Amino acid sequence: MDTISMRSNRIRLYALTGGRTRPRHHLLVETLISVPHYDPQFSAGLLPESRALYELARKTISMAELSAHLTIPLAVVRVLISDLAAQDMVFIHPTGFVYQYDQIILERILDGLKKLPV
Amino acid sequence: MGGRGVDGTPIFDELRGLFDESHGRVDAPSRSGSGPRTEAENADRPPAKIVVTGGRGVGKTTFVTSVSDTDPVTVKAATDVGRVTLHRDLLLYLLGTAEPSQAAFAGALGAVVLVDPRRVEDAFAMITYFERSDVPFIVAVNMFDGELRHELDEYREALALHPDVPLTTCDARNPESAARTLQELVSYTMNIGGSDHSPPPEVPV
Repeated sequence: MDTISMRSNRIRLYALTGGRTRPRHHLLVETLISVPHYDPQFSAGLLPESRALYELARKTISMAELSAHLTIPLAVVRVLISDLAAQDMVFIHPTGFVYQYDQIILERILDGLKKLPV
Repeated sequence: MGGRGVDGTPIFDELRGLFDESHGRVDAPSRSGSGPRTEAENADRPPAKIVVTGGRGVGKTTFVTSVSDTDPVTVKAATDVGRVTLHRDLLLYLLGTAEPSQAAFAGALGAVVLVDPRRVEDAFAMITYFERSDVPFIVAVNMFDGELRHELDEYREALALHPDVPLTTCDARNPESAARTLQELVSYTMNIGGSDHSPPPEVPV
């Protein structure tokens, strides 16, 4: 892709989000997204980028992987996923924010790291 | 940093409330009765996150790649995300990045700062960043050519590293070494978490 078409593609993606760059939800790169009840009719009515996100999230997937697989900037994925979540069409899984303070989970993480097949 | 909000409620609880709001649907999809689950579906628990950082070319991507289940994905320039399945219900995401940002470190249980033994000064900015943050971190000298040129203590001195911050060596190319480095970080996070009951870091909006 040449520079001009890359740039127009980017501008188009931001236009797609209605100029919004801040999502309503808390979406980190590791935040997992899934589709609780897949609705093919809903999917068919979506714009291509949102439809692609919705289809990929039928299998639980992280924000990072959504962005990378669809080559859509993370900021745009955040806004589009946020919109789908507002319509209750995707589920935003909780992030592990408090693990820094949770000894039991930290033990399990340590245990898992020790058992890695490396 | 105080542990309580203006009305006396622990900040921790306030944060919890904030999360509940931001999670959209609270009814998790039911997976009972489904067949064998794929790795990505082992998402019953929130995934953990560790940040792997350091100067350019220090081996962040190599480190993340060597210990991840699959090849990491690049979310933007100089930011790679790898996934490690720790248990059936617990994933660990590794975020390799050269850019300190609140969003990158939010929710991370800790960070590994990689040091190039030939260019220790490249790590200064990142170490300063973490010294001022609430994110636990350890420092690992990445041994490119298999051996250290100086004693570890000399690196600590060169990095002006606080005596309490663990300093270790690793070989980012070696999955076992990378995994061991992550273990050291988690052990360190557990140790400081056990004696310190300060609230989680502020949530970036």
